Amino acid sequence: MALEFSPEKKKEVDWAISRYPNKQAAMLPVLHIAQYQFGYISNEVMELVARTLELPVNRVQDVVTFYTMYNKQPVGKYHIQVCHTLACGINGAAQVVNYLEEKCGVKCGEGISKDGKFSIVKAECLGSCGTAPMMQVNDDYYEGLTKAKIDELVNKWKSE
Amino acid sequence: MPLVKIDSQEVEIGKNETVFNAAKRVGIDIPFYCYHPGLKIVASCRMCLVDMVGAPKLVPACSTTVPELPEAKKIEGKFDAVIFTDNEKVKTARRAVLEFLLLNHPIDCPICDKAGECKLQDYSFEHGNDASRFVEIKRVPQKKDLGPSIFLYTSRCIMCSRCVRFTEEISGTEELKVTYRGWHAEIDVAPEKPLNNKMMGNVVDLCPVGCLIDKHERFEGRVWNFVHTDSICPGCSKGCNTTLDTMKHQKLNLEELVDQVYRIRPRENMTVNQWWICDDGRYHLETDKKKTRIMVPHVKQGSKLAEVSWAEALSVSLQKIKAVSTKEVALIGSPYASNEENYLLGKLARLLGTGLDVSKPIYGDTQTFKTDKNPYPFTIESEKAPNYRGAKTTLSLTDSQLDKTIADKKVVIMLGSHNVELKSKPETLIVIGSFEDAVTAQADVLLPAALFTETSGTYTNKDGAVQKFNRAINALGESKAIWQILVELASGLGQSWYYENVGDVAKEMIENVNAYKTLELDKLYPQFSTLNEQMVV
Repeated sequence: MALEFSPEKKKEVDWAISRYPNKQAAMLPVLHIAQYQFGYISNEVMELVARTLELPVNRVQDVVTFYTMYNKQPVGKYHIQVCHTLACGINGAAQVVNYLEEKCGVKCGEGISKDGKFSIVKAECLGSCGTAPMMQVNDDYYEGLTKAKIDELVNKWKSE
Repeated sequence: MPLVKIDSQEVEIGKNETVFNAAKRVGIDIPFYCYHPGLKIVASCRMCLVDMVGAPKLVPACSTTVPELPEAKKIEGKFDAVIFTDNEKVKTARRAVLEFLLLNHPIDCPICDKAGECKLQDYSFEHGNDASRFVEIKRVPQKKDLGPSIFLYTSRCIMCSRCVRFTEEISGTEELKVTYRGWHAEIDVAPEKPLNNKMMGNVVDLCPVGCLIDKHERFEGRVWNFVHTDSICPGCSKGCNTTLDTMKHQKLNLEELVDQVYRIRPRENMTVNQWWICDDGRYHLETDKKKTRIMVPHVKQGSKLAEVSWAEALSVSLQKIKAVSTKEVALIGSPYASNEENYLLGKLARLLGTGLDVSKPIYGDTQTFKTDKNPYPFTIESEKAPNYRGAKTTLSLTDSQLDKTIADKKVVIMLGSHNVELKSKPETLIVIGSFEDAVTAQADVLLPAALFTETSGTYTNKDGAVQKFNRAINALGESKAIWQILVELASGLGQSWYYENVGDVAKEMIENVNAYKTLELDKLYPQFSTLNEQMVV
């Protein structure tokens, strides 16, 4: 069966569309709403968005592949994006990634950990250079990372 | 009108005219990749950058227009813009653009089908660096299969997006798209939605490099061996202008050279087909190859058709015609034959006082490609014959009534046998045709006729445009042009006709057919050129 937006998400979609002069302009917010509901943008999701916005699927794929913040592959319950641009890079982003890989049991950029909880990717500057190194987990920032802090966070998520 | 100075020339530029077009008008060629007159302007390739005095940086010529300046602000007292297309700044920019385009290009020209007509080659030679400074490893994406007739050699792509815009704006089918971005950008199709429409062949012509390659033409020949001939597509009554690329093809075991048509490309004609043709027309010689061509004259001996010489076939035909009174003879024209050929048939019929008619064209599907962005919708006509209107005009007939005409006739001579269904076979059936079918199997005499690629003539399209097609290759086997066969038949019947070439027939036709009186022979049959002009009657 073809995918559908849930009733609440449908309301958000309608609201997003109502803000723009045409339906095509609402593509970015609608894709974000879809990503919240389905976790990642699969081909079926692209078809759903195309159907909703009355566009060819190609136009949607065009946009999804252009932007890095739409997940084209399934992600874990905790999707960890480690900033690796200059400030974080100097302050040890590489070590953060290595330590996270070790703790979570999944390689950076290589899918989801066995327990389905974690996926790790490197991200370009997330705009929190003052508190480097930092990472974004789902929608939240975790800044000034140290080994102890990572231990605490990952252990907490693991035990949930 | 704003006045601009381009290099050293003064040009009046229209209000919405781009610098590119104005320069082209006065003979200055600005290099370009992404620009195409039939597509939306995106100015993404940056190859046409020119230096405009006063502009903070170089501007793309293909998208820049010039507004009229107030009198006091005019440059040098009279110009609205001063543009340099060839100064050091522009040359440096072109070198830089080409260096970027060639970063990941495989430079596999020796095995690339586009080599010889590739813009990347031409401009690299003309404007590029002699060596690349790139020392990293090249990105090598693999070739992709886009659909039934197109390959995408991804690594050769320069991202001009002409093909993508074509599917968006002209065909309206939207199969192609650009995926990913920057270093990783690629042309692609959606999964399970291949590039498959009746106009897809055009993207191969549009591609300025060797990225999109036609499967039918791949590795078949090198473009510098081709001879180009202007022609008209006989696929439907639209009458698209085409170019036939032919080649001398040496088969391994044959010493002689055999002519063959290698590919058919659209030729620009703004009133008929703009820049495009459909795939039915583009590949219709492939379909012809599947049919059996009549190579030599045949005469029925007993119940079988036997191969004979031209002299014998003609004498048998004449014998059969002379054996009955002329009232019992019918000559049948064809919507697949040229105006000249139909004209000669009509002339013969009137001189002898025989019956005269024209066979019906085949009718098929019609398909229109239409989008909001394209002012010229492209229609594939349902009438699958090039010259029904022309045949009716030259024969002065209003419609085809074949069954009625041949009902009481004993000898029937037909030009071609497409789409003819005989209710009962006349006593003698003489067919002048190119391919074997149900009707030619019943024929008593079979005279092999040359195809449109093997002879010259004119077709009249559905809107009355008379357009000339030219002979591109030698006639196969022993086949002859229909007009030659008719002249030979006529002389056997006591007429003393003399035509040196098909142009002589056209001259007489223009004098005698009222509708064609306005045609200018010099334009249709210029003595020393194959330029094809079209005139509307």
